[in-house]
Amino acid sequence: MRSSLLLKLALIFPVLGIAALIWNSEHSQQTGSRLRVPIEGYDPRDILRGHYLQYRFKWNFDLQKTREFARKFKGVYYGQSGSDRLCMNEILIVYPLAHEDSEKECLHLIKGNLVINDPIGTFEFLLGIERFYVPEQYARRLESMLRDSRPEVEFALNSQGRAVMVELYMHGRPWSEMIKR
Amino acid sequence: MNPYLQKKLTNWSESGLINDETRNRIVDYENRRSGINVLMAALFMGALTISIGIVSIVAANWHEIPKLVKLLSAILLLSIFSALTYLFNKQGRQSYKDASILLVFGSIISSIALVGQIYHLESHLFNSFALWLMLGTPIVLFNGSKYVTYVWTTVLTICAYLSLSRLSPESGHHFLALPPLTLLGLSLLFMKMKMENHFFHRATSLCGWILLIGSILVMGPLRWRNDLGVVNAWSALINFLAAMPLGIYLNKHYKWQGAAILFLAMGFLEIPNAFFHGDLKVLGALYFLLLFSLLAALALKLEHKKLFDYSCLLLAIRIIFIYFEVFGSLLQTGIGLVMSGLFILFVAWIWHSKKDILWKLGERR
Repeated sequence: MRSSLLLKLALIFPVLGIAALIWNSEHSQQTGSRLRVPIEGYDPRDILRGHYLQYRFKWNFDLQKTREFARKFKGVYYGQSGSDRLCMNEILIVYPLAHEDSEKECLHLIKGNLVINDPIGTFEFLLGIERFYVPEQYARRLESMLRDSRPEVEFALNSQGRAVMVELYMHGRPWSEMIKR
Repeated sequence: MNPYLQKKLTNWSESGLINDETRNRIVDYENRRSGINVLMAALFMGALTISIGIVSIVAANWHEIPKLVKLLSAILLLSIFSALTYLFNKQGRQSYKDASILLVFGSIISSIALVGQIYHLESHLFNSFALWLMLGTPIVLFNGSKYVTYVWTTVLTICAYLSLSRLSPESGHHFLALPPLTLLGLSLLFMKMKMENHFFHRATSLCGWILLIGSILVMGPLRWRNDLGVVNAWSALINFLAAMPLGIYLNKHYKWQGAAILFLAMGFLEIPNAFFHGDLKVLGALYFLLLFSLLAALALKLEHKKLFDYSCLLLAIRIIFIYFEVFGSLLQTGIGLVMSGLFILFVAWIWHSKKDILWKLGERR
């Protein structure tokens, strides 16, 4: 009797777990403020990796504030995954925020992984959504379309400030519309 | 039936070692047993193929089907396999129940992959494996098949190694002893719990020992040779602490020498990790020889012939490798090879001269 009950619970558990995963993903996508940021191919010669597109966000960094932040870390900083904060102000300029910095100016606070290599002047902010899965029959076409279509990614910010992918846009339209043209 | 066994039975029968009645009983027993094995293997292969097929369909990313339909299909499939498991359990059909448990386990990861793909979730592979294990382990504990248990143990092992790079990408290699020690700790737990399916104990124990010995054989010598970068005494301490439960068990069942050899082996892995770096390959090689010589001596004391044989084999292999490490020029290499060869012949002579005693010990065991 007890064994049968435990078996039932063990069988229901994965179904509930997967349902909770779906609900959480859907909820994060539907609620929270949405942002659309331009992207570019991670490696312009090979954007396609398997069945997903790999890209990076083209952030509009406030260079002065970012360099100030970089100086604190002797110019080279590779943040822990998901623990850094990026402040986006009202004119959509972004800069990394140290723990002691004020959040007043920030319209949005985005959590991610900051990569600064100041001596060679590269700044990156990784959101953990730098890949977009595509159907295999469209993959090659999308790859070539991405090169000259002003691609953008729309994401939602959940309650913790983490990004959840919403849609890939080309020329301001969802990719699925563009591919049918 | 196995043709090799068939041939043997005919030989034994013709030599008068067994009579026809015994022969027929053995044939009957083997036919029954192999019938079950073939059925189990077929069920296992079928369930595994379906699971891989579902993952492939997910990977193809069938864009034309709406998101809701895809997600509901995943839930529905999981529910159907769960219902089948319940039904087979109620009917007492153990083999079918085990196969459907494998299907449930497989569809959990395909569902996770599907959700990840639909919502473009990107995270460390460890997260997916950990979630898979978290959701799937309770149902796997109800299986009675070695196949399903070994699949689960493999997933657990991969997850344990992935956790190293997830928790610390830079210094994860300092904790390489943790996954096998965790598996061995789990195997003790399964034994203590007296699980009905004894394959949980066997699979985790086998995997744990293979990986621990593999780490000692591969990583150990490398650590004594190479500069790993940062000395990490904390990781060595944590690894030693993780070996404690196993040490206590060995002390209880294989005398204090068993525990001592485990901690000596841990020392072989962790001393270079904790205290120094640089090229200490000669010292490392001597440590290795001492470790496996003590293991061989313990095997003799415990009358464990297989352990003695394997320890001697590893000693011989290690001795051959020493000359690659120590000697440089052709002359030195030649001398090294001659010395190594002589040493191996000496070990082989000792082994051969004690063969009768060892065989007796083996038989007694």
